[in-house]
Amino acid sequence: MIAFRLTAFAAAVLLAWPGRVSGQAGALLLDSGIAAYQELDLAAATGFLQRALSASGDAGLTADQRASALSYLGAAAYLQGSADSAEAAYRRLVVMDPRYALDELLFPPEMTALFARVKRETKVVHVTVPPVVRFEAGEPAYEPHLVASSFHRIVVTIDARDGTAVRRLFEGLIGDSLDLEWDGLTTQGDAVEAGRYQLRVESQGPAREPLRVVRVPLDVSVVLPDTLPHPEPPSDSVLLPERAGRGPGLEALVGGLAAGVGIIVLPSLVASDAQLSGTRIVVGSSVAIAGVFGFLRNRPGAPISANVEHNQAVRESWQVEVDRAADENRRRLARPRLVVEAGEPSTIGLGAP
Amino acid sequence: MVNSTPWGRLVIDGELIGNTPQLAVDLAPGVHTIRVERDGYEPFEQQIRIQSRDTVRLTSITLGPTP
Repeated sequence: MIAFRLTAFAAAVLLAWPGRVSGQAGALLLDSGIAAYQELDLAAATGFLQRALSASGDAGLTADQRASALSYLGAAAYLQGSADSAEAAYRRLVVMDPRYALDELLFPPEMTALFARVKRETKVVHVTVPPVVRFEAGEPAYEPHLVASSFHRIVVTIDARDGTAVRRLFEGLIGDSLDLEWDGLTTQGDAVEAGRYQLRVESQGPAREPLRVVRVPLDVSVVLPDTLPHPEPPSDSVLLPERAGRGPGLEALVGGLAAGVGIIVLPSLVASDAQLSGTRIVVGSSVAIAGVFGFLRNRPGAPISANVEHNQAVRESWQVEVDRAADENRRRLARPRLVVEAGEPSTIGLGAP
Repeated sequence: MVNSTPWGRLVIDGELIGNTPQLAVDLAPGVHTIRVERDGYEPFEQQIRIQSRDTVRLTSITLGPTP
């Protein structure tokens, strides 16, 4: 009793103090509300708890403290015979935390039973998403985690800013919890464009009527990927000459003619008694003709088939590399990297309990 | 008014009244035995004397676990 009076006094002083309330105000009001409840001063408890719940900013309650405040607020209303107010407090608690369970040590079975009924009737989903996710479009890397208050039907979509569904992620029944995946693609299979979207989870009633909607704003930015450079075409140093030059043909012609003439004429020049024989003429002519054949075979501009084949293989190999780079670039551009930043979820009741 | 931590069954003069907390239990003037019990916990028991139109608060009852 003394402890309750002290906390109530401290809370009263704090609330009467002009100007800003301190960061402890919400917690102090909560303590006072719980103490008043334990003393069964239910009107005071209700007042303290309601003020604790309305404290905001630095003075606001943490999520656990809010849950505690709503638990006691519901209990105080129940003891005062106000079932509707008790249900309303418990419903706020379920919407805030669909997994919450009243402390069975503190609250008697009639209260925990009422809370369980409210939880069963309140169709709501709590959505948890990572604050920032970076992933390549097409990779199912965005993973919302859903927790439901009770078994019911839900529809989960990624919506554009104007509310149109860009992609439907799930439609069906949720029991306890559900893990979903989004790959950053639209229904058509394209990567989403940069912009603001929302993850929308609609809880539905038995006739598929919308009961409650949870929205999580998503800020999507697109990082275009680096593309591969096309390989340089094969340089002249790699390619071989495809046509014969002047050198080899002329060398064969000149050499052959000179040798032929030499064979025929040279003996007569160096030996005065040497006779011009038919044999020398035939040999000399043969050598000269061989030179002509050599010239014709290696005449300037004649294609060199071995080099042509070699160069063709080099060019085909380069073209394969060019095509491969082009394919990879197309693939990369179709699957940009996405950065998805999530905002604070908000829950909207649609006239449902 | 009777409250306890944790909640327990309120028995007055051997009659089960209900679970704590209990806001209003009408009792005739005289001596009464108040007992709060719960499985796994040591029961609380106290005798009180009340007179006509008295309001008695027993709200700081703490049940300790059974050793």
